[in-house]
Amino acid sequence: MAVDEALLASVRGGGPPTLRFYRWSPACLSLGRNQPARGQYDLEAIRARGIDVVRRPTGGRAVLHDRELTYSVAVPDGLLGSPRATYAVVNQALAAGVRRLGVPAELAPRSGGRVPVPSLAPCFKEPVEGEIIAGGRKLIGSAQYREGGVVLQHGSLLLDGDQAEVRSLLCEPPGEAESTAPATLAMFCDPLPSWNALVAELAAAWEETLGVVSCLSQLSLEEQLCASRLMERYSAPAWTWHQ
Amino acid sequence: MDLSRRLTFRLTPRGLRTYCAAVPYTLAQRMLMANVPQDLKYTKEHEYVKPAAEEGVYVVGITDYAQGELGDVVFVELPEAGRHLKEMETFGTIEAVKAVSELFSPLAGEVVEINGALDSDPALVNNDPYGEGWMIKLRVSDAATVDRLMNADAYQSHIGG
Repeated sequence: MAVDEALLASVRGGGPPTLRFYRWSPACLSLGRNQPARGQYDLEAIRARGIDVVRRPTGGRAVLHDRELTYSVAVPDGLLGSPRATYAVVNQALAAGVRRLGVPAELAPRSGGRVPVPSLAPCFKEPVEGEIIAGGRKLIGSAQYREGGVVLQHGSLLLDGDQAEVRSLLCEPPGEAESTAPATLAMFCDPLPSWNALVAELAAAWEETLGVVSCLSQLSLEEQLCASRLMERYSAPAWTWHQ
Repeated sequence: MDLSRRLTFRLTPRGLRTYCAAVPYTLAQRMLMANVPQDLKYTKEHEYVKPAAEEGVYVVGITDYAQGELGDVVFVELPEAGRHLKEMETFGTIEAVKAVSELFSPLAGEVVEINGALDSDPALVNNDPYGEGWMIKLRVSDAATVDRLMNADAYQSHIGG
């Protein structure tokens, strides 16, 4: 989280637009910026299972980052269009990436129903317009944070698993009927591609879809220092459990 | 996995064409649809400022254009009444379908009232941005600063109209 926000700060200061792929160790439950959480999660169970918890700067609902790939994009507002256009373009590029791996990915249409509000329901419970689905189920969940003329968008591509653990970490798991399990890469790819192969396909589709030239680089010293400062905020219970 | 590795990128002319093809509606359509009342003041950050009934107090919210750009608003985080804000200080956030944006105070002043109705019905921002979807009422420190904000014509130009 801290690195993602450091990249946003870097772009705000004139740094290059950035695409980043990463994964989590240990597994981590990320909470939506405005979702309720304080007193709602079973902290003992979370500790016992060795899971970290962080609150994102972006909206939406909880994601368990385990057996998944996280991407993040930081771009100046306008480079890929408005924030909403950015959302559409990034999702198109990601869908193209997983299609290269044989996944029948498409963008979710507008449901016409109610809009999902920040809540204790898992992110992958239901797709919203423009998110990536496969076989009618959500495969990649994404969210944005806009600040100072920069858009940060990040999201999670499920490799395997059903996110059912997100509900089991609640103090009072809802009794409602289980929603449809999300799609995963493993449902369509056997065997799963290696991490490097997956990243290579997503990056190639990104270049092709957006018509961009990209180059691999490291965080600058300034970005690393910024991330270190931001880590204090993201690791503080006052931020994670502020509501 | 080295956490510090990332791809930086720049757009090529082909990329810009890809983007244009990807956007399902034109900018001109959105601008024509946006309601910009003549009697309000505006900021570049898409907030409006409207005089309240009480002298020196102004109602602040986001414009019709901004709510249209954001899409369905699902959460609005506002400050507590009594807080003193500096000009352009963040006073809250707004979340629209998983996208969180900062809200900036257009003027320096004290928050004298917040719109509590947005707590249970944030869609008021979409349905009636200049009426029931207002956000905060500010007792402005220096009334002269209100005149320095954009008028409707300048804001219309700002959003490209």
